[in-house]
Amino acid sequence: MRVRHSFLEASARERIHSLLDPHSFKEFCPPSERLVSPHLAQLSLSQAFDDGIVTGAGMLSGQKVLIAAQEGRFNGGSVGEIHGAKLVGLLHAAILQKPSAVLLMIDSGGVRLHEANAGIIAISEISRAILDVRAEGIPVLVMLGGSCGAFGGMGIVVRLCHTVFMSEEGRLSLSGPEVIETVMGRDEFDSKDRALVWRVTGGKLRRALGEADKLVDDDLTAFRDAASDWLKQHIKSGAAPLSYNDLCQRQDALLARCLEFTNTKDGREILAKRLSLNEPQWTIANAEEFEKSLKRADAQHTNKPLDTWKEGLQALNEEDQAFADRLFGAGQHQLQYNGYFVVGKAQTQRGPVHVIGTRDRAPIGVGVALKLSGAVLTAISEDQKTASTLPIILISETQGQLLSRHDELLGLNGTLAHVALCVDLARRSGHRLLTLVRQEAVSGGFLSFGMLGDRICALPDSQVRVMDLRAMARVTKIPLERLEGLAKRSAVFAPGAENYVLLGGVHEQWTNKQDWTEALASALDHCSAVDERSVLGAERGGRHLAASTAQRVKQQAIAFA
Amino acid sequence: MEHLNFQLHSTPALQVKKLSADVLCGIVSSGNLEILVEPVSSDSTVSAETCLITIDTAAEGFSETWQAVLTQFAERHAVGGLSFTLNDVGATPAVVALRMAQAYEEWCAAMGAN
Amino acid sequence: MISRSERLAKIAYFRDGRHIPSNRMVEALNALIQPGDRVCVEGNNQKQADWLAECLAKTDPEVVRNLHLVQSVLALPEHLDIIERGQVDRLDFSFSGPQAGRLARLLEKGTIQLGAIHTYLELFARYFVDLTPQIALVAAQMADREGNLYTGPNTEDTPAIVEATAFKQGIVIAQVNEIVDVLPRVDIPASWVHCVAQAPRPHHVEPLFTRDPALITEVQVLMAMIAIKGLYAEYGITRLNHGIGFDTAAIELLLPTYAASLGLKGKICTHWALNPHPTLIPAIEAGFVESVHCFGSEVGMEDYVAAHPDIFFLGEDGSLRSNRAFCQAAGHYACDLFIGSTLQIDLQGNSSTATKGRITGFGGAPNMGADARGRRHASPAWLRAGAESRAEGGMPRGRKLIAQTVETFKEQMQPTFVERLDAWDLAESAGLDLPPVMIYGDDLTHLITEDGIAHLSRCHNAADREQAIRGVAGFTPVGLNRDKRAVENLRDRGIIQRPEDLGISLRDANRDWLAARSIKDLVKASGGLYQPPSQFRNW
Repeated sequence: MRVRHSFLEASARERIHSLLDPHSFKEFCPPSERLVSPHLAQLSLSQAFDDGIVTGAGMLSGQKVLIAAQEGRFNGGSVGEIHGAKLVGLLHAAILQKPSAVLLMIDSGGVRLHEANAGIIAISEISRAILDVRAEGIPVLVMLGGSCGAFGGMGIVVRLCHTVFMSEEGRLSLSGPEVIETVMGRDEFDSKDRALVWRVTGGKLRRALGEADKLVDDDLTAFRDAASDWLKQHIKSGAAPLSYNDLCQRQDALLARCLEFTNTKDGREILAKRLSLNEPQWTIANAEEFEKSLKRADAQHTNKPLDTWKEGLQALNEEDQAFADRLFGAGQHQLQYNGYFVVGKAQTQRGPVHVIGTRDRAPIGVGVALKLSGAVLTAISEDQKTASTLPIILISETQGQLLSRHDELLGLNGTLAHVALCVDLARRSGHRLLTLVRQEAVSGGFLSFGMLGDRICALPDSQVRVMDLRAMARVTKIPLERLEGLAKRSAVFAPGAENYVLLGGVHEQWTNKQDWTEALASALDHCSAVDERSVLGAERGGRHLAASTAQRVKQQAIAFA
Repeated sequence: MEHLNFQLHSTPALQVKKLSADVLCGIVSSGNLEILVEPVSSDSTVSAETCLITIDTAAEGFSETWQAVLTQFAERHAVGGLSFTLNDVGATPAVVALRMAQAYEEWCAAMGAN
Repeated sequence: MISRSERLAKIAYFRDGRHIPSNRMVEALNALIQPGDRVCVEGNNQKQADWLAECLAKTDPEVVRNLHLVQSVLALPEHLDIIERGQVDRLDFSFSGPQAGRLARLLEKGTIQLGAIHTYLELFARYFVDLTPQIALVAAQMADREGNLYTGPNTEDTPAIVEATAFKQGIVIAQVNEIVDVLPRVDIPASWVHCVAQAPRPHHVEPLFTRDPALITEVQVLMAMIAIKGLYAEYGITRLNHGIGFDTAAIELLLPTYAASLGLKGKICTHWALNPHPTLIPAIEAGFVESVHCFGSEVGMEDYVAAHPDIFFLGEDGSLRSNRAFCQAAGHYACDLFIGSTLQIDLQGNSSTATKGRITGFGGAPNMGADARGRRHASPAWLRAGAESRAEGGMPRGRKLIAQTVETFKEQMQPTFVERLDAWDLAESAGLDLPPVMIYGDDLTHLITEDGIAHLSRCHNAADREQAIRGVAGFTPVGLNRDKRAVENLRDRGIIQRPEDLGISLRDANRDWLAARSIKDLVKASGGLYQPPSQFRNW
């Protein structure tokens, strides 16, 4: 009997060593440098010498690659300031060095709540950096099969990458089943029903749905073989950045999927349609048998035009009208809305702009997300026709992602990643992107849209957060009083737009005394396509370590090369 | 969190070829710990027959047990001149002893490989 | 003394053949049970006559009173309800599991008299001597119109209880899940059964023997390696019984990998007295196992067992026939090794699972974990163990190998090794005749911890024995107080073996050796025949 080395059970380091050619791995910022999280120490919590992520360079089948692996068993692989910055630094090194590929072994529940603000900004910086790497034609492969899977912001990050390999033990989604159960009740999602959890988020379901590109057995050797084959193929064919046409096709395919599985809440229905194997055959099928049993997706096209998002639009209500008047001046805008979605054009002191966004503290589900991405793609194509690239104002007003088993099943994380890819294409096409945070902007709903702006402005009295302190106390089991006390001294985890300003995650917060049309013009002047948030965070004193840590990884990568 | 320091007598470790050599073993998770093995820095005054052990542990009040576990470890292995730094989240002595031995074996293997 | 026919006459007006309507069961019990009767409510550690227990708890306390409960397991709240309602005077039992705390409180209050805490086999034996039930309430899967019973894979204690009751003027009452025209096979003939009723829901069966391989630790793998190399291979153990737990599950999962790599296939672990543990599937598939006789069944293993008539004991219908009494006898007399785990071990090697405020009882472990003094047939392992422990010039005889495998500390840093067992305090507070010891030190031949293996059978005096125990007790106070020189001397004599003495590298002690790492792996290994209950599934 051959001894199988489980990917699931291996540590981050073991995964890297088994994947790369023997003795080829060079770690950047290794444990001996003791880059530990000061934020965990402040809460008297255990630290890890690598802050839960291993970054470095090595060879895969003789080709140079940059690689990172998250340690899912340290604080759930969660992303904090240093953890995130190490990955950002590695991705920036990739842009300079142009390795054959970047390999990411994601194993993470998302943002580390103990340093939530720094964590979500870091995930946003990771997202931007991955998009930059892909724009250079460098393929990014995600391998997913750890105990934490990829949830929260990391679920979105995974789908920004070129290729995703998953084991059936792996999970990929946005909100965790426990969160959905806590907020929406057990009828919506029974997180104790392990079978159901995997049928909604697990590797086999994701592969059948097309959210993963290959199912791999839970075996380190199988992952190495798959990665090696993939790399050989990409050295031949290259990895062209996503084009407008690619994203339009993807937009239509995602819409088609929503129409195909309108009311589905259990992966059984999807698996039954996509596989030639029946239950329970598919449950025990190995990766090879499962791949063989995959049928081509039934519906990939809607035969509808790109701008179906225009359906049902109506004139703004009084409150929104007043808001738009203040922003652009009365009579200077033609905005419309439909439910949570708001869209249109407006005049600014710097000329015409597109306006795309959400309203009414939108919970962002698959439906709203596809309207946003559709509107962005339409704006790009309209401007192409007139040879212009008008700025896009991204109005971000969201209570976070929609907590719904149906939306998770359909890959809300992947849909939000699609929104991010569309927004990023707009930037690369020459559109300036200005984000305005209205009322509140929370976690997943903010991450894939508003946080991608060139410049992020928070309107007066608006709120930015990952989670409120009460919920944070419940999840982290740290007494609320302790968190409240610490929140007075630290900007790193507590809700508040002012904290995000200090950390560099929000560029500026407007006041009620300001003339917003002037503020808007000034902000448009200061839009920069380069992500400078970590530098800003260091300058403002809210985030001391992100920029220097990323820089340190990058320098070690350069020195090693 | 409790911080503990031990200086233990041991046989000198095999000659370190590369001063930058270090090994990390284990994971910081409940009932587990990570161990960083490094050569004692060359400007340190401790002898080649001393092993330095530094611990941050989430389980407070077990310094005597730590002393016993680590003394036996230093007696059974040639770890003089090495420094072990531990981040512990309540591992039992069985797990600590296993992890220490694994860390030492991995360090020896790394020395051979380098 | 009222005769059986006199009792049955009282319910003749609604008894139809051997069948009685479910809604008249409480009425039947009120009529059939006499004050002072010995009553056995079948409760095995898996199958439970749970509906009949509920009915008993609804009887009239004025009529059904002064009972003497004689049953192997007190696992259901209803069993204790009957006591709390004042219907019971006296109790003889084996195991109380989940009700251990409540039972201890009732005994302390003096609500009932405790006869004794038995092993299963002991209690069954007394059914045929002085504790014969007048009333037995049993559970079966099916009955036919005649009243024949099909107990199916979970036959367990039923034959022993019914035989004792039916042939001594007692009344056997069976709850069944369904009534059919033709049974798959007859496990209990109708003439031994006096009342049959269909229960409103199937009887409860607990998946007690399922251990998820995902939860097995590296330390448990290390101890399994020590057991296989230092004990199984050393003595060539072919016939054995395993206790329940992750420690022994790890051994089962290392057979097709680690043991096979040592060339031990066919040389060890061929014949078992064991429930159908899901973790045994890989070893069976690898051809390690020739025969398994079972005490009971295990939820989800029915189809897998049915597909292996060459290994398990099956009826003509193809389903498992288990029998706790026979399997206990088999474990006691026909096995060369018992290995299990425990909560506490003292300096003499006595072990106990007793903790203050809980009376858990024994179950079957003391019969498995005791030398069979009546055994006369020889085997190489038995002879070797006997020879090792014999004083010079003594009469040659064999000895059963009895091993405990424990980590030196439990969770929350509770030491397994203690100077004094909590069993002493429990005996005092509950007024027991004896401290409840699971396995006596003089029966124990081997002790395995993460520190190594102690061959206690090779110790010929009390001092050596104590130091051998201290020598593998790790960093517990008992371990720290060892005589270091004496322990090194024992190591030189091969009485204590460290992992490195056995050629086991700690670096090798990892989960990669597990032939299955998850319940899913077990399902795959079984070719899809094993159907684990939902709490163990992630698909």
